Amino acid sequence: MLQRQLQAPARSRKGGGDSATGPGPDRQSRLGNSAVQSGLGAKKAPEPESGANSFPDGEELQEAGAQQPMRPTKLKVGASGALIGTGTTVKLTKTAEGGGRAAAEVPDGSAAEIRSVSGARIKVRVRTGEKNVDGWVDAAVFSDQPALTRDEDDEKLTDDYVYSKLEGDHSPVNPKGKDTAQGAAGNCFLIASMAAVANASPSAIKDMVKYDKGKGTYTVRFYEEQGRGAAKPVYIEVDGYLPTEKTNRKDPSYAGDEGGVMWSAIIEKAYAKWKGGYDVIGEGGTGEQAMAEITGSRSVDKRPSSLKEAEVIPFFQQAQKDGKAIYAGVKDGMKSETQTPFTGTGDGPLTGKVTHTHRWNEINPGTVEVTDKKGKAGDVHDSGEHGDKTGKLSGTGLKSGLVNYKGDAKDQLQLAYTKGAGPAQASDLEVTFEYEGVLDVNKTIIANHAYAFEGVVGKELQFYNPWGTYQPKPITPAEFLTYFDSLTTNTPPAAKTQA
Amino acid sequence: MAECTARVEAGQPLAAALAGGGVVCLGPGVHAGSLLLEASVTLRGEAGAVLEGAGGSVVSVEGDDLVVRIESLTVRGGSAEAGGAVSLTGYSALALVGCTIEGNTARSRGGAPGGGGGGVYASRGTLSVEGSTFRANRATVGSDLFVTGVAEVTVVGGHLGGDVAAREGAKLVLDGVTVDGHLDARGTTTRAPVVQLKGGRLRGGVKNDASLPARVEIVK
Repeated sequence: MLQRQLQAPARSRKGGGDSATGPGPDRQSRLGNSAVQSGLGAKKAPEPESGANSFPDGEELQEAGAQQPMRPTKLKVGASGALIGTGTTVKLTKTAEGGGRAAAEVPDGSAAEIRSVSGARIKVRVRTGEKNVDGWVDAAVFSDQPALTRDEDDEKLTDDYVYSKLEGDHSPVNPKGKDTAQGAAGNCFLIASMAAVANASPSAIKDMVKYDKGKGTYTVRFYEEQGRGAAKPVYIEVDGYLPTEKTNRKDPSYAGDEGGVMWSAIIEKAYAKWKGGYDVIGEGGTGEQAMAEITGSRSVDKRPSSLKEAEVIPFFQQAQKDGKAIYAGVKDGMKSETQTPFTGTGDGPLTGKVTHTHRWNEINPGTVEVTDKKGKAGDVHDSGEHGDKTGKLSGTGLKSGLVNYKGDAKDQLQLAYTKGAGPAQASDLEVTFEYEGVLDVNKTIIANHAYAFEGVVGKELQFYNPWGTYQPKPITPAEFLTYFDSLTTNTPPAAKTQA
Repeated sequence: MAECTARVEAGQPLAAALAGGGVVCLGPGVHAGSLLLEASVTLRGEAGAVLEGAGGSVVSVEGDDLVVRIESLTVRGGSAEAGGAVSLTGYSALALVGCTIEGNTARSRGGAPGGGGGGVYASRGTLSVEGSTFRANRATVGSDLFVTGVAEVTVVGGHLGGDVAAREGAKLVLDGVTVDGHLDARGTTTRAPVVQLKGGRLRGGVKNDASLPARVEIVK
């Protein structure tokens, strides 16, 4: 679940519950041992597939240098990046030659996409305010950076963030799941996967990032599955520039918190660069794949519905004992209690407003059902689809009907029947729907969201919310089976570095 | 056509019959889905047989070395992180023949309205889809079909009412298929999917990522 969509308050470091890490990981289930062994743990590192740095053992770190942002080796139309170099603002001109009136002036670090190339000048598209502007700049200010996520209100625009430099070395030192904090990208699958692996094997996270002090860049190692039993390491190099809020350039827009531990932001950026942008990894993904890409081991799915209540705690205890990272996903909605919200008389119009257990909750389109408990009026249902703000209600004897999924006005539900087809009384109409948002207010379980397992607390399970906040309280096995519909384990490789 | 080795009426549990492998025939009516197939088996639908989701993919094949064939079934109402109707994530061979895949959803963990493959998702193994119809499936990308990882997928004939997506190092052949939506293709910085288009129609065209394009081949 994307935190921003639920309009949650600003993130804070409020990890809840006790962390729990498992014993030493099991090497057996790791994919592609031959390929893997030629990676980090080997004396001679493989050639990096990305053209980025490999991890040679005993590498002498260079002295800190200018630490410029990464520049592309080739200027390519369609490439995403950022305009970095002036420290203040960047002027875009209307012509390739420059001069004349500026097409726009944007803050240093603004995201840009190359539209055309003319020698040492490039035409880029940038966001200014609520529109895109094309203009020419020196190619030298274009930095190779992952594309930003898209604006929810206008898909033509990127989100209005700017790349800002994160000073210093933010490689994982003693990584813990609690270090992670998801930002504005819809990638809880990735952040929860990092947290789950960190909880099970801190060294697996620590070993995947290497900082080059001289260049100010990080090389992050992932694994790419090649076929059955074969995964090869992939090395992605990124600099220390991260998308931040325009109004506070120390506040990361995606993973990480201002002043917090930032390794998850470095790994997230490298993952975004590998896959094609923050927008791409914000499309969503699976923990099954993300954990495998982090550890090189194949993940194993387990259906919660295949577990009996008495088997839940032993399953988690055994998986933790075996050193497995554990990732679990919550259902996308729950059925509401039956409500009788309608007022009005006769055939209508009848109006009503449903009540929710939490202010974030909304009706899932396509799930509204209205029935007359006395059987006089016909059944009514909606035809909305995910993403709709409103939907049409239809049914036997209904003249018109409307539902506002997100609204909370008194006329959120509106019904008008043909003559004589309405209920005897408005209060006879019963409404049920599926809702998204917070499925359990007391335990803080968020719908359609991924969590990392932390440990067993008494006879309950403690999960970690990768938002870094809104941590769930420990849940019972019965609650786990009620709310969760996916469960994935992954065995990280044996540690090279003891965290 | 092989004889049925077991027959299951609508409303009856499927698990025991599936565990035995062979050819399991499903009688007319609605059968509860969310099946994790752990043995090689053929699932054959009689006229009017429907396999309906009950949370998660309607049919999942996660194990290796299985041979699974699903014939003449309507698979509907699934909702999963990836592959609402059918998910292939093991190194196995899966065939969908003469099936109708309708009204399934993929919704990713992350807040996006759907993950990959509202209808069918394949990340490993080989998948062949023959003479099947996809309609009213939903996902952010690849509403009908999402192929990724190292999956090798061939679709022969049939009609896809939605979109198709290819990612990572997957191989996809669309042979004589009518696709109402588009093909959304994108690689990573380290590999690209390969898509072959042989005849058929792709009404929504190809959306091939400019920065990380797939290899799209049109075979005459």
